[in-house]
Amino acid sequence: MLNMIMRRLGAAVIIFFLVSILVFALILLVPGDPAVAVAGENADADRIEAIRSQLGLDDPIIVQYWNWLTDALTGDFGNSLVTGESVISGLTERLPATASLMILSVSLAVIGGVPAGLLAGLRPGSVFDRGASVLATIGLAVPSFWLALVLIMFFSLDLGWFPAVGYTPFTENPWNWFLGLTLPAITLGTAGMAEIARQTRAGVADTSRREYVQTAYANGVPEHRVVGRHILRNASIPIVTVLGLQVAGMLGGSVITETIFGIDGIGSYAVQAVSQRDFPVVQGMVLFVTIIVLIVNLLVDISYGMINPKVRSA
Amino acid sequence: MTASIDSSPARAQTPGRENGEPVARGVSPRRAMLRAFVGDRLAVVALLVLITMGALALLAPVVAPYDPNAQDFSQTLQSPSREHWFGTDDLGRDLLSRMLFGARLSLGAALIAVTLGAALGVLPGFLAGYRGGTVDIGLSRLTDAIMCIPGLILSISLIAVFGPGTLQVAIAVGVAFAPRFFRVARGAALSVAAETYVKAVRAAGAGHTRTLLRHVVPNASSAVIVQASLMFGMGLLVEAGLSFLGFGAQPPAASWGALLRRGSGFMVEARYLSVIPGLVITIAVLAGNIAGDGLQRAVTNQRSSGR
Repeated sequence: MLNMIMRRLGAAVIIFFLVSILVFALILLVPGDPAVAVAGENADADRIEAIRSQLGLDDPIIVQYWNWLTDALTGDFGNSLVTGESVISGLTERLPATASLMILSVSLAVIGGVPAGLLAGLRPGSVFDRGASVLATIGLAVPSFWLALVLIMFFSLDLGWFPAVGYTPFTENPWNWFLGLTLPAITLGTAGMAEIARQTRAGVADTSRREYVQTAYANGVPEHRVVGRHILRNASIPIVTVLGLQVAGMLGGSVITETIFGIDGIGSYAVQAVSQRDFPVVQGMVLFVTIIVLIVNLLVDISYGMINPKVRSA
Repeated sequence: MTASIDSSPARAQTPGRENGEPVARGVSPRRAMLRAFVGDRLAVVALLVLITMGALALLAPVVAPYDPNAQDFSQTLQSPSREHWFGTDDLGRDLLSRMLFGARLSLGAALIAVTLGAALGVLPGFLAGYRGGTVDIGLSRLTDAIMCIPGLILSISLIAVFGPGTLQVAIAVGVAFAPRFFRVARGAALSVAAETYVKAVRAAGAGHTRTLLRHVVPNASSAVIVQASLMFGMGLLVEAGLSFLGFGAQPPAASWGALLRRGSGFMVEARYLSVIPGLVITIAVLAGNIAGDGLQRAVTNQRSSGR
């Protein structure tokens, strides 16, 4: 097991370096002179020079990359070109809001998706199965931003149950924290729920057909034990896989959800940075998000090993 | 080199042979696939919806009842009526006409994104799957790295580079799609390259380029086409999302996502301005996904049942 974790960790480090090269190369892709692009067409020469030296654009590329990477590894992602604020503190300040939203969205996706997929997969072709399949298909097609607007119209403007915008930190008022994040979590979690329900259904339906499951049923093992011991255990590998992918997808989706609901998290920070072409923030944000995804992927790999002992030595 | 080695096995050997499965005599795999797809009523309806939307988009200048950018301050924020089926916006512009012209941008951007994603991902994928070794390891690692960046994050950081605009968004989405095409193409090439007839062609002295282009590419391409059709709906969705954030077409031009963005400012007084564009996006994405699923089923059924 430890061996497998170390190997996965090694792979993650390699991928991190590749991503760091890609992220660094972003600024090299800017058409024309990056300093001019960042400063704006009408900026005076002094401002352009200041940005050029702040971005280190005068050094050879290898030196630029090395300086940038070593700074990033010590937690220094540079400063915002717009506010002058340190990028890493900008990201860590906003992490609690994004993490709260992610936790609620993922929980919702799992709590809704796994039981629905399980019930559908145990009774393939039933009314419930067909209904769930239609709902999942729609859930995957509905644009999150539109769902958000419809939810706001109905639950905030008409019924007044939830606030339309804003985020309250958990430490300030847990109830308002929950109320404020309910609609955003539904917005962000719906597609994930649909995908998890689909994968669970496929996994459960597939495992149910296996001979050892049929044998267990034939031997009179009660259904709840067959489901718990055999079906769910074997179906959980694809579920965990899709869950890992969904976390990455939701991190991307937070860009839209946070902007609509006025949550000052990493997603809305990213949108702001992109609109202002604030490259140090964009680069730091991409690297930061990628590190989170790599950690999630590592956790997924470790959980494979816990679910299925065969994976540990593979 | 003899003729039987030159032509692809689908034509040269047992009629309609694919993946070693026998296929009914006289029925080509492509026709069998088409027959399976046409038998899938829901998928056909979905495809017709998409074709209708595409036709309306192309004919927008003819079918649109009004000039999409003509402002009429006596007709602002009018609810849907017989004169304005989808109502009017805050500047009195006809929403139906704007949606019809917006369809060109939205459908066009999704099409460009998928095409670009395929163009960037497929050839390296075929190469990696066919050659294996260092080429495969290098390209696969690079793909793994790109796929660790969530798609939307990757797309918006590319927009930071290129700036906002319809084409820029399409390019940003296309680049984010490329790794998926790479993986599908690589997998397909890998399985085709392991087939006996490919080994036979190589043993008979065909070069790598020739083997790849004449034998691997034609036989691995159905997987790529299925993937492209599955990605179209997602392309629409991502393009709409980025336009909703304000990164897409710049005013007065507006794709569906941009119309929704503008409409969202009138959630209290004119809900139809955000409900209608969202509904149309949902229907288009749904149609794309269902048609893509249908195509995938048709291809796999044709393979496994040999019909």
